[in-house]
Amino acid sequence: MPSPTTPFAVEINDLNHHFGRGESRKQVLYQNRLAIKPGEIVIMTGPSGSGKTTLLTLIGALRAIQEGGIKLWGTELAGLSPVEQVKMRRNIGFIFQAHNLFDALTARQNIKMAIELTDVPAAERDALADATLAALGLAERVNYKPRNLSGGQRQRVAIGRALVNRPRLILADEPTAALDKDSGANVVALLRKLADENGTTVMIVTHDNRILSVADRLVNMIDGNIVSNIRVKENAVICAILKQCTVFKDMSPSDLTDIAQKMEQEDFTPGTDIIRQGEIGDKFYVIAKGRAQIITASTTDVSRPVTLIKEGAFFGEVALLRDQPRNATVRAQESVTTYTLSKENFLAAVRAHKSFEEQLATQLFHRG
Amino acid sequence: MGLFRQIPIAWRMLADKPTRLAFSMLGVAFSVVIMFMELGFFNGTNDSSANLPPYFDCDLIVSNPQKNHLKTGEEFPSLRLRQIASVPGVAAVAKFNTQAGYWWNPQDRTRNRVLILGVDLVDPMFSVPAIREYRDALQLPETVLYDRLSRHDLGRIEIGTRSQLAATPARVVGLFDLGPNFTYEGHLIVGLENFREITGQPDDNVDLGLIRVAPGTDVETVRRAILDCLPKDILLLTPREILTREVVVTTKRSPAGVVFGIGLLVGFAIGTIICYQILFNEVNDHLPQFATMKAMGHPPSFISGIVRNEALLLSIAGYLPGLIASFGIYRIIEHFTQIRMFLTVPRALLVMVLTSGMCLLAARFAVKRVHSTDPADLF
Repeated sequence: MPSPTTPFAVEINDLNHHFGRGESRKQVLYQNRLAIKPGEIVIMTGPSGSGKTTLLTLIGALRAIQEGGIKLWGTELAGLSPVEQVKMRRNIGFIFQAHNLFDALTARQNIKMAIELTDVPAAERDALADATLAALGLAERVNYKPRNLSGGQRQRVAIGRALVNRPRLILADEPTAALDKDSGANVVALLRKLADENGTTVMIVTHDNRILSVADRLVNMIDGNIVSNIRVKENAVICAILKQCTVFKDMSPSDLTDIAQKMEQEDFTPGTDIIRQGEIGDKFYVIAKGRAQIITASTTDVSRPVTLIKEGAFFGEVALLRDQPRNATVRAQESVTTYTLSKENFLAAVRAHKSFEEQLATQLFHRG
Repeated sequence: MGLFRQIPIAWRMLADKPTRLAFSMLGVAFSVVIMFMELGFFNGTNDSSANLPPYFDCDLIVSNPQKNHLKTGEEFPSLRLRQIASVPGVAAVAKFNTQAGYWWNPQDRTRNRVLILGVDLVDPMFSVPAIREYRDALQLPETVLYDRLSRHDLGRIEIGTRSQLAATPARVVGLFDLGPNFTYEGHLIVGLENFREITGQPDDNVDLGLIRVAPGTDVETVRRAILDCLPKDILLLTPREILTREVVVTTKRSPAGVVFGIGLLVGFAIGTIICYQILFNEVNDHLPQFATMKAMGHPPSFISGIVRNEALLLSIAGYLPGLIASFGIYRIIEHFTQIRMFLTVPRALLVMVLTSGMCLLAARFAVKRVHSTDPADLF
C-alpha cells in the first residue's frame, strides 16, 4: 500500500469539506494544503470550530473525502472503499480526548484488543501488552481495570492501545487534556521518541500550550483555513540567519517568523550551482547546512574561487534589490540545504518594514 | 474458532456487572420457563391423550375402520376377532373394551367422568401388572382396579373402598398407575364380564381386538394374511401406529395443540424482547468503545461477534436456571393435576436451541445500533 516514491507521510491537496446538505450545507474546510514528512510531530491549534478536528478525521480515513485529496504514504484516500478504509486505519493510532477503554477489561486486556489486529502470535501478546504499559510507567497496573486507575493512568492505557501496533501515523485529539503537567510531559516525550526512532508521524490537535515545544511543525487553523504552517526548528534557524541580514535586522520576531514561513527548502548536491553569474535573480537564499563557494568569472573566462560561505550565510539579495543579473556564481561544495524566499515575497517584506529606498541604500552600502 | 474468538471478551463484559448479569439471567430464565411450560402442557396433552398405546402388549390391534382414535366409541363384531384367531401366524387374540362412565366420589358423592377399561383377565395383553396380580379378585362381580394417579377429585381411594361406577356398585380390589388425561379424570380396569355388567355393552361387539403373532413370524406378513382373509370392514394397526395417530389427532384436531403451540411462540417472542433489551443496554453503554474498535481498524464483524457471543453466553446462563426451575414446576404441576409432564432430553434440547435462537435474534437487532455508529464522532 505505501508507495516509496513519495517523501511525505501525509499530503493534503486542495482539500474542501462541507457538512450538511442543501440549504444547511456549510463549508468547513477551504483549500487546505499540507505536506508532512515521516517522523514529524505536527501540532494543530486554532479556535474550536476551526476545522482542525474535521481535518484530523479526514486524515484518519474516518470520513469520506468530498473534494481534493489526502495521500497517506502515497496512497490516495479519496475513493477508498469502506473495507480499504478499515485496512488503512490499521496503520494509524488514534488517541481520543475520552479514553474509551472497556471498563470490564484490565489494562492489559484493553491493549490486547489492539494487538488482535496484528498477526502477533497469541503467546506473545501478553508480553507485548505488558512491555507497552511498562514503557508508559504502568508496569504495576497491567491487571487493573480502568475504574481503579487515575485519569492520567487511563489516558496512558489508551495511548498504549494506540501505540502498541507501532502505527506509522498517530492522530491525537487533546491527548493531554486530562493529564497533569508531568503525565502530559511523559506522553509527549513518548510520542517524540516514537517519531525520532521509528519515523512515526504524529498529528496532535491541542489547546495545551505546555506541549507546543515538542512540535516540529505548528499548524494554525482559523475558519477552515490553514493560516500558518511553521516548521519550528527550521523557522528558528532561518530567523537566526535573517537576523544577521541587514535588511531584516530590525524586524520583530513575529515578522521574521512570517518571512521564514514563506521560505522553501531547497537541497543541492556537491558541485551543483545554486545560482549562476549573469542570470536574472529571482530568489533570496540562506544556507542552513553545508558549505558553498562564491565564484566570479573574470573577463578572460578564468574562474577563481573568491570566498567560501557556510551555514548561516545568505546571498542573492543584491540582484533582487537592484533588479540586476547575478554578480557571482554560488556552487555547493558539499551537500547544501538552503531556504529560499521568492523575489516577490522578499520585496514585499522589505517594503513593509522600512521605506524601500532607505533599505536599498543601507544594504548596498554594507555590501560595498 | 473465529465464531467464538470473542467469548472471553464477551464473558468479561457480562461478568463485570454482576447485578445486571443476575437480572439478565433471570430475564432469560423466565422466558425459558415459559417455553418449558408451554412445551410441557403441549406434550402433556399429547402424552396424556396417548396414554394407553404404550401399555398394549401385542403386535397388532384391530378396530372398526371408523374409529379414528381411541376415545371414539365405534365397535366391531366380535366374530371378526374369532376369524382372526384362526388365521395362520396369529398366536393369540384378546378383547379390549373401553367406555366412558361416571365414578362417584365415595367421600363427597360428586361424580367424575372416568374411562372404564375392560380387559381379558386370562391374557390381557395390556402391561399393567396389577391385572395379573388381582386376577382372582377381579373375577368376582362388582370389582374394579383403581388408577391411583387419577385426579384427587375422585376421592381418597384405597383397596377395599366401595363406591358406585355407572349404575352399579363397585369395590376397589387393587390399584395401578396410569394417570388421567384431558378427557377423563381417571381410569378403572375391570374384567370383560364385569365390563358387560357395568356398561351393558353386548358381548358380540368389541372396541379393540389385540393380536399377538406367533414367535418368529413377521408382523407385516400376518397383517397381510388377516386382511386377505377377512372382509374389508376392519382397521389393522400396530400399537406404534396407534400411538402416532393419537398424538396427531390431539395436535391437529384438538385446540390444545394450537393453543400451546402459540404459547410457545409467545414465550419465544417475550424471550427475544427481554434479550434485546439486555443487549441493547449493553451495546448502548459501550458505543464509544465499539466506535474506537472500528476506528482502530476492527471490521464490523468483530464487534457484532462480541455482541453475538454475549448473547450466546446469556442464553446459556439463563437456560440452566430456567431448566432447573422448569423441572421443579413440572413436578408441582404433576402433583396438582396428575397430568404427566415429562422432561425428556430431546425436549430440553429443543428449548435450548430456541433459547439460543431468541438470544441470537435479539443480538442481530441490537448490533444494528453498533453498525450505525460513526467512529468520526469520537473526535
